[in-house]
Amino acid sequence: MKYSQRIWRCMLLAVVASVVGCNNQLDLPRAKQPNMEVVSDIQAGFEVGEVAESTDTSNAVSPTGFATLRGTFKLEGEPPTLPVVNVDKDTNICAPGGKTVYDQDFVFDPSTKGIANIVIYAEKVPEAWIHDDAQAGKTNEVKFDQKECVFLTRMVAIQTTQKLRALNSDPVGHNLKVASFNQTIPSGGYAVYQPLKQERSPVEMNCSIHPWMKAWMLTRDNSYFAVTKPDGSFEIPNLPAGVKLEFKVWQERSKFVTEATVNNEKTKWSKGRMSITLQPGQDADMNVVLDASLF
Amino acid sequence: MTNTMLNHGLQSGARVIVALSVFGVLSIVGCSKPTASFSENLLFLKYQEEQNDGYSDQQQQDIVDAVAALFGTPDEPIFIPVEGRDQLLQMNRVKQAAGPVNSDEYGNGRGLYRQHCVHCHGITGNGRGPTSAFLNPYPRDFTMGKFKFTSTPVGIKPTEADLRKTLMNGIAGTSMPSFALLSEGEVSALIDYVKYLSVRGQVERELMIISPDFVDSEDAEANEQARKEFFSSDLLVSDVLASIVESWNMAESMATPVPERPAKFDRFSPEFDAKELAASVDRGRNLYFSNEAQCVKCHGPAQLGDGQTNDYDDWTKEFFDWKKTEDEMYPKKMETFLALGGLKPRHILPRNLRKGVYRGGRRPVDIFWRIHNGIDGSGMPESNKAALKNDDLWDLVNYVLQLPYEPASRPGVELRTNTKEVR
Repeated sequence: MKYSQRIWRCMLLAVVASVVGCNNQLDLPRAKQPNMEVVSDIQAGFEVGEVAESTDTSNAVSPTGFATLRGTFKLEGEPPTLPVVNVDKDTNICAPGGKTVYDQDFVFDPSTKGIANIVIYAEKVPEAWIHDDAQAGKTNEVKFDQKECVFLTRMVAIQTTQKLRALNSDPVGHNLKVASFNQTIPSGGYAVYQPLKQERSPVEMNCSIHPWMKAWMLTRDNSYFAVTKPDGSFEIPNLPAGVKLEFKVWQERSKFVTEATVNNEKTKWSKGRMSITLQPGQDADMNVVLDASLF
Repeated sequence: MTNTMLNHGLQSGARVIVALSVFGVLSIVGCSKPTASFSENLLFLKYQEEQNDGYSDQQQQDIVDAVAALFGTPDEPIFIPVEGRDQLLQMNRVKQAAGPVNSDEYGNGRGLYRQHCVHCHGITGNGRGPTSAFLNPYPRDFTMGKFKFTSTPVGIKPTEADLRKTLMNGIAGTSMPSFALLSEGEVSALIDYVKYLSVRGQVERELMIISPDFVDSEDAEANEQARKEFFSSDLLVSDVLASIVESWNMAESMATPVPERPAKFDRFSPEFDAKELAASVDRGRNLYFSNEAQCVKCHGPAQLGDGQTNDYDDWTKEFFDWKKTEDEMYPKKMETFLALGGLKPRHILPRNLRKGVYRGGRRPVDIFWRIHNGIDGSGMPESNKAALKNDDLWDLVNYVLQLPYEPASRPGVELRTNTKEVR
């Protein structure tokens, strides 16, 4: 019978088998492969890269003066509940009397509705625009202490030229781990950290002996940054005016803030970027209300 | 009748077997070798998404394309000539280590990385090769640009000599073997390839971080302009790549100089003084428990490494932050993490000092470096520079080195008393 039919069956089997057998590459969700056409276009761009600079037009504008930006960050809605941390070491010092310790990742003042520890900083400011007083050059040390196994400053912002003097007011030893630094700090002792470079966003500070301890640090090349006070207020002086400035707003629970109500107007800060153009001599007021759903 | 039926049954059974074996053979033959490709760092992308409002498909594709333009493929690696490149690595070595396993007409090995390393460290160097899930500790992920056992302080890259030491000696107490049987040239090729993978991984991360700055979702024209800027040589080569290469090249000058170990502590020196050594060990013991050194906090009062066992290393913490912010979200996040190829998180444990197994090396100077510089990526901090001097560190080194020989470190001490009771 049907010799030819068998051949056909065999061939069909062969085709199916080779197709099935081939499919052994584990594809992770969303993983992308390079598009070789685009890749060679980019590479061609590298070769002419050096001459293309003169077409840059972004430096055509320059600041016409300086201005101050101040304002407040307030919360609308219920503040988030703070997570409880697991104090598993030195409990008599870190949780005296067996008290419950909360991770202070959202500091809120119910009377003013202000949110503390939000950091706002200017990005991509050309060096030529920077006010003399805001230039990196400040060298005074910033004090940073810890007590009852809590970093007393939750959000630290410093300039690259500054040093951080980490103290220890606890009867137990700690260590401070941040970016390119990890040193022990004896009880009553200190350690000095000098940042290596500017950071694009805040980095975490930890203690490895008490892993629940947490704080954040932002290092910038200029002083165009501010951390909100307990009432949610902040002020950044000497900002270049007459040019478009780009700010980033960051809080540790929400990370980059993407939507806000600024002076009663709902706005979206796409990718966490907020653009403002200030007038020379202006004292700009920015009253920001953030919705509780962000946190 | 029955006979024919039986016959028929047999025949059809045999047919099925033949068909199955044909299918099996063909499914293996049909499997053409897939071209080796680097995999995108989806874990870090996910982590970044937690910080931003997400990445579009276009953004993701642009990052992958930019990285490929700078570094090529596992078969054809490239390294765009940038200032300091030739100081960092030699392209002929990188090429010798890359590609499929092979050898040239003189018998020199090619594809060394795939012959010796890929099983554990993975083709992308992300520490997630096929065997990685079965190993403890997990293989190193090079893409973060962090290496544990270096002569440089925390935050500084390893020197060439540090990487060579790791390859030649392996890492005691882990699955990392010694490659001392390879020729010197082959080890050099692997070192350069590890650097290549590490720089590539760091560039990819950096591009994921800055990518949102080059997107304008409202204005299509501005978006196209920003994309051009993202692909420009100014950004990719002169800024991102150059600064990472520079951070590698400064390692040599940042290495902690090796202070001479006092000869009176050296058993092989004519100046060796047993009394001095014993006194130093005593001082070291006091320091171990002291406020100044705080070793006891993590390595424990009995030096068993049981002081603080709830911490995680930096490679794990990169995503593990999720747990700390929202406890109930953690299992769900863990699922996402594992689906993206992550390995189940494990705690990082302080070393049990009584075992005499030292991952970073057992020479006195190795222990000195670990105490002086700390261990990058782990919880081990450097010694406090205001409180401890080099002499104190040598006392600690002497104390640590004799711990495995103390009676308390000997197994079976308990057993002897038990045997007595039984008798």
